[in-house]
Amino acid sequence: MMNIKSVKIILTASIIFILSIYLPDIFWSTFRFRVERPMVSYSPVINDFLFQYSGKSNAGIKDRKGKTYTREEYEAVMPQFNFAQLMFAGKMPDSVNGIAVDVPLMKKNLFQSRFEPSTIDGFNYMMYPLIESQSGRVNLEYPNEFFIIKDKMEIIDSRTNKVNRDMTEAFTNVLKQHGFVFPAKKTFGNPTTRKAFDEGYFVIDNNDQFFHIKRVKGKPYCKKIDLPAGVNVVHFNVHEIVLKEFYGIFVAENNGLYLLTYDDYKVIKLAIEEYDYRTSSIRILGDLFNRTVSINNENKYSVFVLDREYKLKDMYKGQVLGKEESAQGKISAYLFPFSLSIVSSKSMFVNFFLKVLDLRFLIVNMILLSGLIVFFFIRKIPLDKNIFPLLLVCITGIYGLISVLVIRDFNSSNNFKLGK
Amino acid sequence: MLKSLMYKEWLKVRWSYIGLVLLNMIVVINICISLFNAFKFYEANQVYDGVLSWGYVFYIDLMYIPLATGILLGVVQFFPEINSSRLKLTLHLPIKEIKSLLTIQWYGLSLLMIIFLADAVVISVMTFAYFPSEVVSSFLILSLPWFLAGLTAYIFIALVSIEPAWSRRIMLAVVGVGFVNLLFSNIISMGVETLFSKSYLYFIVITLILTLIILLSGYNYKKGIR
Repeated sequence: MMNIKSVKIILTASIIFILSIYLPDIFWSTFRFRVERPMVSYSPVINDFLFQYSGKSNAGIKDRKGKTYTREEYEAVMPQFNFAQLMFAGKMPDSVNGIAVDVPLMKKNLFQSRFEPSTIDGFNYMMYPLIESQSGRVNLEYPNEFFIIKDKMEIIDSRTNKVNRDMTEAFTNVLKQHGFVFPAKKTFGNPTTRKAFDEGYFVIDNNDQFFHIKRVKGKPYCKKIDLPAGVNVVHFNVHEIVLKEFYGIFVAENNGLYLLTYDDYKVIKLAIEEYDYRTSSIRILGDLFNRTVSINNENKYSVFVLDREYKLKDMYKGQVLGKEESAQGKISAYLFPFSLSIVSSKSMFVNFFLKVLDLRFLIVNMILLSGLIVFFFIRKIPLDKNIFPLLLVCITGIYGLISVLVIRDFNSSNNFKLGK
Repeated sequence: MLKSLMYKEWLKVRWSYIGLVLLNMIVVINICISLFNAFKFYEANQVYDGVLSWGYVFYIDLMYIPLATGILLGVVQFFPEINSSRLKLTLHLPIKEIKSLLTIQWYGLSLLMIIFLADAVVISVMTFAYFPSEVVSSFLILSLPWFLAGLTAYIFIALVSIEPAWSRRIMLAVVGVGFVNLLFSNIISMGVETLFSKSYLYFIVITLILTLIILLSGYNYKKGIR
């Protein structure tokens, strides 16, 4: 017989594997915990931050000193977002801090950009529609050609599923002339015709160089973008908005946040801190007066206000009760020696995400271990012949105990398998 | 001896197996017809847009079919063995138990893999007729865990049937559901949210390791450990 002991170990390992995935999962969905993070916005009227709490217990709008605001008061000091409501109520101001304002101007200047770890560690086909950016029509038209940049810039006609040789050659040659190193690592763009205009795609080549590629009147357009030394693009949000101030915003390997200006391809670094593209999420809100960058981390958040020249104007750093410091988090730290997950909010890929917090679990493990020893005494199971289950409970705690108890296979003194 | 053992298994499952092949073929042909119709009624670039940019998974109907196939084959192959205690006879044949048990199991797994391979090949060929190879490889990466789920379900149906003690049967069933559920992690609500492209090798290895547990259940069965 193949060593039955090793099969038992496989079964034990499978049970522990499954338990370490599902037990913490069941625990957290039963004792749900939500980080109560306020939404922070910056008022150009009072030049201060306002915090919107959405939690059930402390909902409301407060400023830094704790003064509460009603919804109407809030809207009045945030005309840059609430212009529609102010217009409707007839309360729209003519000017804010001496700057004349109207609705179209505010609307034109409003934009939002987000970076989440899961979209950065995400997947795409790298295959996009090659939209004509200057068709001479008022609306963009969805093309029949799709491209993918492998060992050349391959352009495929969707009607025939065949490579369009002329276009492929034309685009590939232009890319080569600009020093593009095939294949592309990542491609960024908005593959839709529901946008104001088309700026094509921004592509990272195999040498981490950054390129702007688009289709202009059927011809290739390519521009190599000069990045500051040491700046490697990780993710780029292309913004095709009528403001035409920048092509988009990008996050770099050095955890910096940058803007790529329109037409002259200048790179502007935004003065932010506490950002890690692997774990933090970021939101950039632009309006007529300021650029507000909010960065959310596990148990803290920070907000940076930049003026239209991208100079730091004000900032706020706040703490929130993180998942691990909550009551549930503390209990789980004692209860579960480790937890395994195959999905993560930080990634779009299935993988094994092992989490070991600290050694607090050892206390519970020891209690469980003494429980098992008592159980062995009552059932007259000799300890010295059952070292493996004891060791297992010592290390894997609750998971090990459950697997030992369900397999129920202990060696007794006369080498007779104990059953039920 | 092993050959006759396999022949015995074939006699037992053949009609059900043909039924399962038909079920799979109906679903696969249905997927092909839907895609054909999509290209007939919409512009090609609209279909491309849906698939490339909006997460239109045209083969989503396949998702639970391998699982159902694995469960049904497991039931058909192992329940009669247990109900009439026929497995006892098999384990008393003059072959090593390991060999006979693994033969029975791998025979079933191979039957399943033939069906799954046929599913994958037909859909890949049809996808390749309409789309570039990137879409074909994304189909393979997306559907691989569904096929593994079919194999895993089969493995655990066999374990649950052979295991003599009810308490361990329940434990095995729970663990089996746990493993199968993991393989559907790439489907969250309607769309495809996560992908196995970085981890599918681990899951293949896990599935292979799980095939060994049958030896323990067979051992318990023979010794009558309850």
